Amino acid sequence: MKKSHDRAILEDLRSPARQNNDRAFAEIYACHYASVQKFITKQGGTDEDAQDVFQEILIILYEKIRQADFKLDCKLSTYMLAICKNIWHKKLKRLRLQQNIIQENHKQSLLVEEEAPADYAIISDEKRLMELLSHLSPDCREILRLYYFDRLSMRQIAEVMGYNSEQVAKNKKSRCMQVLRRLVDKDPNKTSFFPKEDYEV
Amino acid sequence: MRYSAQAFDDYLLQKMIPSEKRAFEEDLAADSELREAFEAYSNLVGAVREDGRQELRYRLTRMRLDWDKRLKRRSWIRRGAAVLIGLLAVSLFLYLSYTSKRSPPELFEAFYEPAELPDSIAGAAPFDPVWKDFVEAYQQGLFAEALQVLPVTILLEATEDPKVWMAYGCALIGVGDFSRAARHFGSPTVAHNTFTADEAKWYQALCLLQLGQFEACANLLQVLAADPDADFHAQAGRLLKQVQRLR
Repeated sequence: MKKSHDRAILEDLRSPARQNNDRAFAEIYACHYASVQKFITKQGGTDEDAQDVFQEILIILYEKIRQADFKLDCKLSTYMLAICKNIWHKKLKRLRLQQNIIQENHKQSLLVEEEAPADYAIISDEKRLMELLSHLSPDCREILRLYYFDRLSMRQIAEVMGYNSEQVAKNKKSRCMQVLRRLVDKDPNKTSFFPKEDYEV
Repeated sequence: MRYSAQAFDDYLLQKMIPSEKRAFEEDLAADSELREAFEAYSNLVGAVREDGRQELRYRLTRMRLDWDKRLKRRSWIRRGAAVLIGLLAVSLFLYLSYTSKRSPPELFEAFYEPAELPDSIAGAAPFDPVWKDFVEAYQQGLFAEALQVLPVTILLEATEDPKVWMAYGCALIGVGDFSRAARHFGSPTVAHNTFTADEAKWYQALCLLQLGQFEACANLLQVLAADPDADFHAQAGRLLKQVQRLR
């Protein structure tokens, strides 16, 4: 694939306009899915695994590209394959670990009282936070996503959301964050994710 | 030192300049209250980012159905295009091979192969110096010398193996004397001999082709092409098509 083609894809992916992002995703899918699928099936994975891995690659790529210090020094296909290998090896590692735990539990299930691993607490905290996010208004949720996940500037957020000015977007974002913090404060199950009394932020 | 939410955001979104970042990290290390507040804040931001990932995952899943459709359509279009190009290439090849005109010398080169001397002649050669010299010269491609040692009168009267007549004619072709060769292959002794009639017609036709007598050439080829049992039947059919284009 030509470098100029890669550049065009990255530009579309970096763009604040969703339709440009979607166009880039479609182009990446058309040009690079086959190689990812080939790699995964060669490694013993299924087509479904390949689709999952490919989706994760797109998400990682999307997040990486929006970081200020991101620079692509190689071809997009090479970069994507490197991410693919990484994801796949992590997935295999996790699978092996799970199998080991199941086998171990099976051996000792009647003898030892089960203890939830420490990871469970983190996962449940994350889940709880995600649930709390669903209590936000759709606009609030969108603004926070645009700011923290899509890393858009306040000016870009104002354009996307149709606000009159950057300041409106800024105020709105601050208010949404406060609402989220209040939701967290009120949550009876809050644990490690919000350790102490409020700090002045 | 107190930090605002904006400062936390700047750190998390990598918007701090290196000196600010260093100072913030030093404060984080020194101030446990700040560390806890920052941890809580970054947990919230982490959750928002995870929410963004989920939303993108959902979007990508929806889009994938459309991509698969498009990809399938694209692959069908590609296959169709490949088949079309293949068909066009084959048609072009067939069209060119049927319509291209090759010059008489080109056709002659493509179809002519000198007659081989039969083993019987080669075997008889040691006993007769005339044959011996002819066979040696012919086999070495020294056609002028071969013709010198074997005058045509001796050839036609003395030999009983008509294959030698073919070799003699081919020696004439070898020296470029196509009219004499055509006459030789067309002479009654050669042309009417049961064993050599077809071969004589074929070589005579080739000579006539070189001489530009396409009509006469085509007539001879037609006789061979019409008879499926004739020697050179297939070659005659192919050459006839080309000669007809020249006419």
